[in-house]
Amino acid sequence: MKKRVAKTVILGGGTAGWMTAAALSRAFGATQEIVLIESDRIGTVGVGEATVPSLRDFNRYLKIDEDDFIRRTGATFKLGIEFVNWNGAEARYFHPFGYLGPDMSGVEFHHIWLRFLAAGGDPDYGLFNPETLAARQGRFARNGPHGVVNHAFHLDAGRYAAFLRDYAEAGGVRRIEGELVETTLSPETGDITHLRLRSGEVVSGDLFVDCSGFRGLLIEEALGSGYVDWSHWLPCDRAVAVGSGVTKPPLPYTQSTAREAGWQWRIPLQHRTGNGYVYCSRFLGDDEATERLLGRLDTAPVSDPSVLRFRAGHRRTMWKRNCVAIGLASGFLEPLESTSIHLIQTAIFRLLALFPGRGISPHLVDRFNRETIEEYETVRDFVIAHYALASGVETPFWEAVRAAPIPDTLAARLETFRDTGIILYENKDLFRATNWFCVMMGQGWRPSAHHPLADTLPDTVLAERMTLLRRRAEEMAASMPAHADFIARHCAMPDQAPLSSATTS
Amino acid sequence: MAQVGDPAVRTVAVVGEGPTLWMAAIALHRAFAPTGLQVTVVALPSTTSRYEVLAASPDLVAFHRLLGVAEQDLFRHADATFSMGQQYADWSGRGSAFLHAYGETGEPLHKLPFLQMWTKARLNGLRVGYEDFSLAAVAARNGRIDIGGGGKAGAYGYHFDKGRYEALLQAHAKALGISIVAGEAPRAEVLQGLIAAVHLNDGRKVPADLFVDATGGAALLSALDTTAPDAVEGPCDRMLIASAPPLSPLPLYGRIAAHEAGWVGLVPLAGRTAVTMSYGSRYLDDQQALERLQAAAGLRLQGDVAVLSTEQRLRRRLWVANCVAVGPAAFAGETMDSVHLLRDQIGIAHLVALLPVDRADMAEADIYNDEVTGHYRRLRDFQAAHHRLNRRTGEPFWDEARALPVSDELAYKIALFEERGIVAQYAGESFNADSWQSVLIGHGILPRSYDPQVDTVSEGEVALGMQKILGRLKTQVGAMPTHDAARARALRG
Repeated sequence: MKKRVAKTVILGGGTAGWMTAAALSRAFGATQEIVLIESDRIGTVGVGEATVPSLRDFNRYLKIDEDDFIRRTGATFKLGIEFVNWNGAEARYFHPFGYLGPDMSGVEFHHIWLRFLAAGGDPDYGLFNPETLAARQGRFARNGPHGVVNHAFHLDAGRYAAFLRDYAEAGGVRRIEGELVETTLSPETGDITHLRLRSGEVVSGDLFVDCSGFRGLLIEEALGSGYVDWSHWLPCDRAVAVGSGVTKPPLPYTQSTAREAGWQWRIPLQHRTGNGYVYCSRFLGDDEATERLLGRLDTAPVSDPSVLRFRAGHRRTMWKRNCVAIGLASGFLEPLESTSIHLIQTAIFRLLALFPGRGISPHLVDRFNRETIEEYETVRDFVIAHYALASGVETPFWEAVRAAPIPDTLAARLETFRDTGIILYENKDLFRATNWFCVMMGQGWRPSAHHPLADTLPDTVLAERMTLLRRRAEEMAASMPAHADFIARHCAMPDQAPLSSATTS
Repeated sequence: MAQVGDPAVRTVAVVGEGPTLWMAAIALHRAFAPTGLQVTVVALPSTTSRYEVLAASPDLVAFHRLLGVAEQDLFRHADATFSMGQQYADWSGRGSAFLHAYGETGEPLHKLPFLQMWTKARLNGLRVGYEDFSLAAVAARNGRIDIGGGGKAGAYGYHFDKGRYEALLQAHAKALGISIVAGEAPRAEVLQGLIAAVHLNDGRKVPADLFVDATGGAALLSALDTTAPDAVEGPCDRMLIASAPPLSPLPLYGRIAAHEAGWVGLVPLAGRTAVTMSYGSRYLDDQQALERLQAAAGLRLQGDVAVLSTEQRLRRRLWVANCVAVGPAAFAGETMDSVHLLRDQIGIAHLVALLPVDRADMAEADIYNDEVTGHYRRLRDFQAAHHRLNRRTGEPFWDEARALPVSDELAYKIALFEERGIVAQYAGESFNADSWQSVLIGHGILPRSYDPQVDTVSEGEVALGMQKILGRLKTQVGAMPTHDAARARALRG
């Protein structure tokens, strides 16, 4: 009989490592020995400090109190992403969480809205979305008179890792301080048998989770998984990141601004603002990018800028032999839609669902890899759509991006929407009709038609429902306090100067 | 949008026969008549034989809402009974049987899937079968069904007479004011790559913007696309249809019993029992099949026996230019698992969802072809799984059935389930994971391993949780009405 998988070794702390450790300890309790190796000498990469609403599922799984999590991580609330310059100089559009409206007459709301627009309705579809209205007014609450408010968080990744470390250690995870110097493979099976650390300590295990970051110390350097390179579709390969002072009041959304050779993020936290410039090194040097970023901050820098290098794509297999890569060790997609932490989280849940009992079955490994790659591909298409449809900045970088081919799957989505108004997606996809609609419309990609079923709704009923939905969205937004006030009342970080309560208009 | 005139599809001709024809016409009329769409039915002589029967999965309940068909009418006019699933008998050797009932089995314990708990317990010697934890299966075996009260026992479907159902739908279409032209031998007139009109043998012609081909033999679509449909090698290619006196009490499930070279279906209707005999013509000729049927069914047959072909065919392009094939012209094959009605519902629901916005350039066709053929392949997988997993060794028909090639998707689905009790669900599945689990376990697969998180729950706690479930099922089933009471209520409306 094959040996039971009884000991899991996680290599690397940081967001991926500690999220994995926390979830495994929650799932297995004392029935699995869990060890995490991390080195204080190796810095962690703080990309992906903005999240999507699914992180709340992860918190619920761990039974973490949301207010406590926010206080400990300096988090703020996020209602969506504002895209600036992507569709014309200074043009702005908002990609909100939540929905524009309910399905009607058997079709998704956007078809109904397109009919409403064709009949002379207001072209601002954000008026139907409570999250958009609240973001415009700088407001936030978790609930309103007509339902829940869909939200995610901006968080400090370093503090998040520390927070989860406390959780995991309380759940029995053993942390070993150390740096990997050698990985030993079994001569018979090729499985990893043990890791040797700089201190001389040897750590053996049954299953190894590689959370070592871009290099993939186990999945790539020891097991040679290989890499599927997507840089022909997503040419940005660098980011320079820097913290700056707090913006007051903190805005309840992420901002993404198209720049000459990429785009700039702004992520408001309670105690600082995260900023970064994602760019393509063929069109912009590191020093130049750093200089541009520093010149475009809203507040004074509070840390030294650091440059990260990456390549869009994913490992050919994220699970190979007895090693599973999670986080940057498994692949990279630029954080344009804040998906980094989401991809970590789904990998963890997938690992839990397929966790080996006795021995490691190739069918479980195969399933893990298939599902992970499919997920990467759908997120990839959504990110590429932003570039493919952009028309805001005229530089050699953007000319090259627009001239580049796009995946067939994306081409099918764009053409179908243009010709029929139909949005293609699968139920398992993270990004669905509302997401695709807001981004395609925001980038100026308009359909020439809407679904014929939208025409079955009588004019008077349509008018009544649209008025009602709009009023509900307004009532939802009006019921919420200012974002800063909500934080101050429920979940402010201790020892922080109060955030201004002025509401932006 | 086109510059000249309105590009919208204004007229649809639905051409063919059988329930498919009427379902398509009524669905399109009900959805789009308010926007001015004109639906015309070109009704060809029906080929439904006497005694043909249809089994409907729970999906038909919602589809009937779309069509505006009242449940009461099925019981009044189509000899209907309720159905909670199918029993598969003798597929793993004589005396073996399981019931694929609609609905969940067991309840999660500590948020862990019931199947994983059961698998561990079973590997450790648990004697209670998986199906005994299914409320629907236990209710069905006891002749009880809950059609009100939110359907506690899960969803239900129906069995009914195919010819009477067709007549019922025809009357409904008439009452809705759909224009109906009766005709024969339709011929498509093709102009510039599009069908302009359908000509009938009495000289009449019916023009339309869009044509729905429900002719069985793809009479219209063949004018645009000469590619022959893909023939799929299946073990059963012939079927006898017969009738026997009604069963009493009326069972809440159909029975699919394997015999030496195929299977016998017994479908309980209110006034009779529909009997079908599926077989491979390479192993039995029609006469032999008839003899075996009389012996195997254990029922006194009455009236004529009809013979049908059940060869499996799937068209690769269901929608070409302005013509969409639905029904047997799109996908033909065996009848088990309510596949014929599911096929029609899928084809028609997608057509309603993808009614083209531009009659000159139907961009929707590509999506339709991708999605609907994907659905049909998954339906075929569900049927193929029965044959693949049979355990009747030493009988040439069954040995060959096990060895027939299956899709990569099905092979992987079975392998993954054998490994760990996980159902790989693909896009376009008609049967949910509960149904797959029921059938895979029913045919004798016990997963080799289970989710190790199950080990965090003590065996005592698992045993207690399972006892609680069994106790609850017993109480719930005891409180449910009988099939007769449920039918009486449905008849009252």
